[in-house]
Amino acid sequence: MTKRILVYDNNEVVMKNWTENLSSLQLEEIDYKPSMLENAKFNEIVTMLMQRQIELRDGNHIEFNHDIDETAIFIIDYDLFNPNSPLVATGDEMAYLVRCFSRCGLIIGVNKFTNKFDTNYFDLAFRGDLESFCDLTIGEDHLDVPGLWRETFEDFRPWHWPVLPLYYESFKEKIEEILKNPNELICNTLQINEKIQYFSNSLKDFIGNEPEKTSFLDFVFKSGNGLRGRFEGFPEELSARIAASRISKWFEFKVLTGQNIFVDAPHLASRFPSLFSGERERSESWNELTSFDYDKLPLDKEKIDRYRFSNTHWLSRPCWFWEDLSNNTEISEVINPWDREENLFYFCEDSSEFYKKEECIEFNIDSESPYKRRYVIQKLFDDVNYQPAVRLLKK
Amino acid sequence: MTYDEIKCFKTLCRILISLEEFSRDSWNTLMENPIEEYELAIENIKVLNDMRYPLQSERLKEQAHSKTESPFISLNRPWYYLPPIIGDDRQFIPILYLDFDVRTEPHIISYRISMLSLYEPKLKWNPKGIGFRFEISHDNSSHAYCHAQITTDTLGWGKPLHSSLSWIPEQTPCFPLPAKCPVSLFLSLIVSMYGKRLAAKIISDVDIAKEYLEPLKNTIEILTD
Repeated sequence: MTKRILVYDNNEVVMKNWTENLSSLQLEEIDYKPSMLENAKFNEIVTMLMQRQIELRDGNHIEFNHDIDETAIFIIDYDLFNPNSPLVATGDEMAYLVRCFSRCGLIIGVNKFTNKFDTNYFDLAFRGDLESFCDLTIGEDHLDVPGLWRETFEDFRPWHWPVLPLYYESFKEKIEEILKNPNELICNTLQINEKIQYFSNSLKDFIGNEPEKTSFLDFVFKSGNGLRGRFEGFPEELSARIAASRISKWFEFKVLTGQNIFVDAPHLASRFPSLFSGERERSESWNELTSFDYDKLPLDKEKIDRYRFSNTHWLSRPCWFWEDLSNNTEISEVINPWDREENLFYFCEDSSEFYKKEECIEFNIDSESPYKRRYVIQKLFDDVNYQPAVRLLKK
Repeated sequence: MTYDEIKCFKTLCRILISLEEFSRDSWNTLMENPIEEYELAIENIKVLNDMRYPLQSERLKEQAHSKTESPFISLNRPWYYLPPIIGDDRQFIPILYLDFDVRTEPHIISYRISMLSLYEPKLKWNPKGIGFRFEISHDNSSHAYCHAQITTDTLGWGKPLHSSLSWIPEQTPCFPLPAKCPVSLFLSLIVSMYGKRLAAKIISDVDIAKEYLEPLKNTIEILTD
């Protein structure tokens, strides 16, 4: 069944341009079809969602019978200001309504940081934009980057992006899992119940006052990062969608980003090159570490399997518990640190590929993790705006 | 447990927590605003962080706060990174190993500093390291005073870090330190590593009873002012 991608910008010329760019990716090959949302229809959806909000506050039942409920991916511009139709001013306001009061799949915000970063940027801080209810925030020039839609990474392709069709499928799995037991503790589901007490306060804050004891439903209604306002008998299905979206974003773009609680394949092999089972002299072989398919990763899995994060639909790529893994004395860098090989290649976060050190520039992400130093291959992507530039460390 | 041992443990933990925060801030500042003189140190700590996960302050506080009735703290894995060294030896990364256990006789109170360097100038890979033991008085021995000695077992493996170090004498000399208890011993360690002014700054916010500073009185007056 073809999955709908709905695109909206209050400027119809821009919207048409975006939709055509998406169409050029031939997404129908993976069963996705982009279409534009006209202004009148958009206003209708806003009004309808606001009405649903009112009904639910009154404890009334609502029907999910609109196109937005059947949308897999909703792409929305940030600046929606229109004095003639002031229903919502920003894409973030709309994202909140769509997330909380519809069955829409992923919500992708576009051009939120245009004034600061332009429309084709790489955020060196790895901020994550947790305040927004969008599942991902990008620039308009990113919409037709092939690596956002398929697992073929070429040219500019930020590593922290999920592959959207895969992310959508995992989103559905997360909702299903939460619906089976909405009162399950978040930490149990994410397998971090013994670790969260050691998270920094800024990481824990998002979940709630007592993260170890917070369930998915608690998060939605009591954390301050879920539903706003008081509702009687709020549908569990919508609670599950809100929880799945918001917790995913935190887990993917804040927890994983630090690469200190979890580590993914490229960063793991960079720290422990002995685990790499590919051809050491060829960067193309190292690039195979960016596969989202665990079976394809060129790693010595026998030594690390037991540390693998097993609830895999909660992270977009294979990951391992770093602290436990880093104590495994079967790994040669752990038991014989002085015999470690120097890295021939360094992983670049902007291209999701490995390059020689002289081709890379270091930068610091905004994180409390000790692993905040990362690399980009800036010289290849002149049309990308790397910001904030102060984070780049000069050679 | 005697009152003094628990008081000693709590004071030591307060110092460890303050020192860890100072260290983390110092390294973060260096990583975000690198200066040329510390290029080697930064490269070294980046690779060492990969090898050994740094101790997170929440874990340290948990160890410190959970065991006051049965004082015991052990810091060896993950690594407790000390602040950057000032001066000519700044390329070396100091790491603290610590055992404080007064639950059994004899008490185990041992601090070890490992100083590790991986790169030479021009970032040539050349790992090296040396260590220093800071120990409490061993009664009924020739080392019946708080002291420091060289150690080649920098990573706590029970053997020299590298066979090339096996010739280094580890029992002699045994340097006496201005210390009489685990806290004053640890303060001596901090002064040894960072000098009296920086040591005073590191502990300036920590509540330390005068009795623990007293042994250092004639050596390092700034700490006891």
